[in-house]
Amino acid sequence: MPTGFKMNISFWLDKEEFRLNLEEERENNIQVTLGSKKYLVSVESLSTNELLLNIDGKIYDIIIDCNSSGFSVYVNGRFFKIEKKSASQILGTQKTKHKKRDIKSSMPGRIVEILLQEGDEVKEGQAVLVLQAMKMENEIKSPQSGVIKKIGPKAGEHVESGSLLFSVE
Amino acid sequence: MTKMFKKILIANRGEIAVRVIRTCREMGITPVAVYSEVDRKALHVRLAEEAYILGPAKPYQSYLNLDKIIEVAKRAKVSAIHPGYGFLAENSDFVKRCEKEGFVFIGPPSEPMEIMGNKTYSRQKMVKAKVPIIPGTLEPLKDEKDLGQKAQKVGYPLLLKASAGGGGKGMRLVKEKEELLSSFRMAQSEAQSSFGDPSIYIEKYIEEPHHIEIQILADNFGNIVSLGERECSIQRRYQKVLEETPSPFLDEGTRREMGQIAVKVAAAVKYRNAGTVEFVVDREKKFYFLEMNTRLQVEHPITEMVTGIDLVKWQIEIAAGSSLSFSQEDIKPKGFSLECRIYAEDPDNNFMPSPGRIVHLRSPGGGLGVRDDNGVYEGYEVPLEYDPLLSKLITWGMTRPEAIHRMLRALSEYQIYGIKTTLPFFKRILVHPRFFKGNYNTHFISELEKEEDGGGDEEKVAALIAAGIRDYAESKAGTFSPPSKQRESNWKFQGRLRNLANRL
Repeated sequence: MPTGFKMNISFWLDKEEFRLNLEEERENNIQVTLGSKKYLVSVESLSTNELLLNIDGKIYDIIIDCNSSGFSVYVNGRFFKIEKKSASQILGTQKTKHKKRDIKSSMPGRIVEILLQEGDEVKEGQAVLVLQAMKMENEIKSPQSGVIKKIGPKAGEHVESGSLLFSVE
Repeated sequence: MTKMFKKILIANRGEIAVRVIRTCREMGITPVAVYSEVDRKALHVRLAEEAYILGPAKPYQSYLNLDKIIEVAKRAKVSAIHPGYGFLAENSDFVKRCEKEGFVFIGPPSEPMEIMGNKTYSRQKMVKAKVPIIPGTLEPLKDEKDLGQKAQKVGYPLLLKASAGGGGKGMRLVKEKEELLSSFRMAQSEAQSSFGDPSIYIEKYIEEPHHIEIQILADNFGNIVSLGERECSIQRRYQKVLEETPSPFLDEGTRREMGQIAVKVAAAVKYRNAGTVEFVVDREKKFYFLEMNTRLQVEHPITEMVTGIDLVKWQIEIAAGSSLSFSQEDIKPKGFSLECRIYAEDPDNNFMPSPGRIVHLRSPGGGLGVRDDNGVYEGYEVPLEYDPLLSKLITWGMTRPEAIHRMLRALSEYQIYGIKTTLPFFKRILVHPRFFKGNYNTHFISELEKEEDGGGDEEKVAALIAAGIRDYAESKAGTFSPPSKQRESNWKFQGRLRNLANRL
């Protein structure tokens, strides 16, 4: 097994870039530099998507899924979506932020209340309507600031999975 | 000797159906499960000895369908029906129907259920029984003029509540006179849409309230015992999140008094079987009757942990005609117990429901004092038609800190992957200094949500390193090319990756 293998990688997590440097000192003894900190890591594969990481003596039982854009990682009950996007792609998505976006229902449910009207201004994270699904009432928030262009359902109506809730531009 | 049932139908699903099935099997009773089309592979079906399909997923076509459930009960020749909680558990028409068809309903008779189902009527009953209730009106408000006069008398802040209500629906907090009319109209329309009854009454708003409930058991021979309290103040939008017993807020005197009043409440309505009397307790530990839940509660296991009494077993015993084999003096709770409700909800996204397939599940079995009452398994698809409760994680300890640390340990071992769950949220509650000191009321979670979530940095680093290692394994072997249009089979890809990781 060749040692001394080195690698630099950039990841994005919550719109923040992280640079990692990995260097295998001995077999299964990897020096990882993340920001200004160094970690000594060894790894065991438990199954297709389970890793047992030892980071400076601390054990992490991790579930990791690979997909085309990056990794879905589950650690101690927390879930992280790590992306391998390039900076230009990130900028690209930021540009499209001001375009019109359709917000669709991810599950069937009933519209309990509509809080805003078409033509109203909305801030990012502001609740637009209340959807009842799985016996719970959920506020559906706008993913971006802008103006409400359209509200699909009326209060009291049932919506199916995938139907338009509202459009914001 | 009472004649024990041979077969019981469990008219429910999820963790509570599993819970009841377990006790049935321990008692040598054949449990009969019912299920909807989306629940064909549910855990309660897998564990039952007999199971019958009810119909489509929608509750009114399956678990709420009285006719179908009675039909199955006849077909399976059961002698009794356990309703669990939710669905038909507090439906007095169902109780009457069971009686008419000759099935024993494992729960209270229809009369106390009807009294407690109507909030204004139950308040009137309690006043007669000299049980303290929250100051307010005893009758539903007649009109807007009546509202103005009564509100003035009760004083602000006040709560408008639905007579038929529960779960915070049709409820409005009114801080001052100016908000009264609009809040009243909103509460009315919400009550109408949720319960089909727009009646509203007024209650004085209790500041910094605690929600504390008392478990009781009542047999058919006039014996009623209280089994101690459950502190249920950790709530989010009126939904309980975490419960514990004993309450860190109560003193011995208040506790005893509440137990006695709870017994009085049950006696006043001729209650039978297991029930729970809910109280609101104010800053000065003055307590008021809130409502009585005429069924088994979700959080009943913490009472079982400290008393050693299987509540479902006693529900069945009482229904079969047994008398309680213990008296109030025999009830000596030992130690401390907590319950965390693990929901299929995303705590990082305003607790949105997260149905889907559980790809990976590891339950923290093992060790003293850990109990996992769950209704799911690895590979199970959480349906979106029902309540998103996946599991109740319960711990017991000799001391409160021991029970808390045991819970933290069990939570750290619990892995549910594939859907979002409330698992990571509990750590924030449990390690919070105010929770640890037992110094909290019903506002705790809304205050916690305003605080910055400081945790997760360590996990973030581990997640980034894991991704780095995966990437590294791919690059090191030199077999990985950036995703092209023609991607190789995932199986091949994973297999190769696994080999590499093994060799690392």
